Amino acid sequence: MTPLENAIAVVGNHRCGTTWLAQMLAQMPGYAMLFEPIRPGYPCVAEHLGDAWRPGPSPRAHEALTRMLTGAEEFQGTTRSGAGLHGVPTIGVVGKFVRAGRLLPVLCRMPIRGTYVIVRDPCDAVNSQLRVGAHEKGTPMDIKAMAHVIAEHPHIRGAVSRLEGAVEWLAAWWCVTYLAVPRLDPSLFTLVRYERLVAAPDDELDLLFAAVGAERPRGIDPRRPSLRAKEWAGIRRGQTRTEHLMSGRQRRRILRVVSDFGLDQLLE
Amino acid sequence: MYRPLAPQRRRPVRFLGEVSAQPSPWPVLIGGGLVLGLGLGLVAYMGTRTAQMRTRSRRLRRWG
Repeated sequence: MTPLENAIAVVGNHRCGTTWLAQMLAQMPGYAMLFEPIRPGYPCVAEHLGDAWRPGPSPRAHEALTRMLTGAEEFQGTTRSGAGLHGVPTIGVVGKFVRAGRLLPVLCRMPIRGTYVIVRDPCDAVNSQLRVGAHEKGTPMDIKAMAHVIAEHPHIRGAVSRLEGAVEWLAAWWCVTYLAVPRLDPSLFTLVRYERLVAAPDDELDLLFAAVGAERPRGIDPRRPSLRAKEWAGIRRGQTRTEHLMSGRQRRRILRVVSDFGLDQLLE
Repeated sequence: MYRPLAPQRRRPVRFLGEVSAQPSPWPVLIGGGLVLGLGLGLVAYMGTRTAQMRTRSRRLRRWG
């Protein structure tokens, strides 16, 4: 186990560059990436976070996240899906979560080294999700699955009741990941724009490491495909830009959902 | 520790490497001040030049 103070958390929606960012951060000496620990397979997740698609903040979430970010035994070694610790951390853990958006208020107030939130354009993210078949892999698309989110953010009730089809539902879950962002003190986490990291990785990486008071380790190649990109062979970073792949109507529907959820601020 | 979110409260978001949403007013103020100052200086200078020329021509007319 490593000290909680050294831990780093990376939060973002599915297909928004969380693995890429976490892998680069985990190249700091003594660090190892913890890949998607919020999965029902882990006992402490079932016990403290339940089986919600996007678990919400609760007093018990703190305990679960502490166990994850200190590299507790149950997270050591990876499962077939890649979940778990990639390597042996001696100094700290870089936790990478696509399911922790609603836990951001808890995460960013924990005494850890830093929390990063990575945001990618919702149209590009949804398009990429469709390409890898996320809509067929169990993303819930009914109002019941979002009931706990509505209870926490009543202003989205109308928007959720209007959702139709996979494109809009995936956009809605993108929104759920970032709902807490405009409601938290911006100094509690570092907000990273995926597109900037793709366009100017060298400038952005210096700022990224400076945000946790670390020097950028040598040998980081931001152009290298991440673990996930390799798995979904054929998709290169930035290739799933939507201009040529999505209809204008689909894009407008996604942007309308983002606007209904009150997250226009996050758009470029 | 867990603290519930204030649902109504919204803050401007700030991305890494981007300038803050409200840019500093100082560059505009300093630039504006410079332009105004130089403009006024030029007008004042031209004014004194005109006055000088008038005095000079009057003196020449009167005294040769």
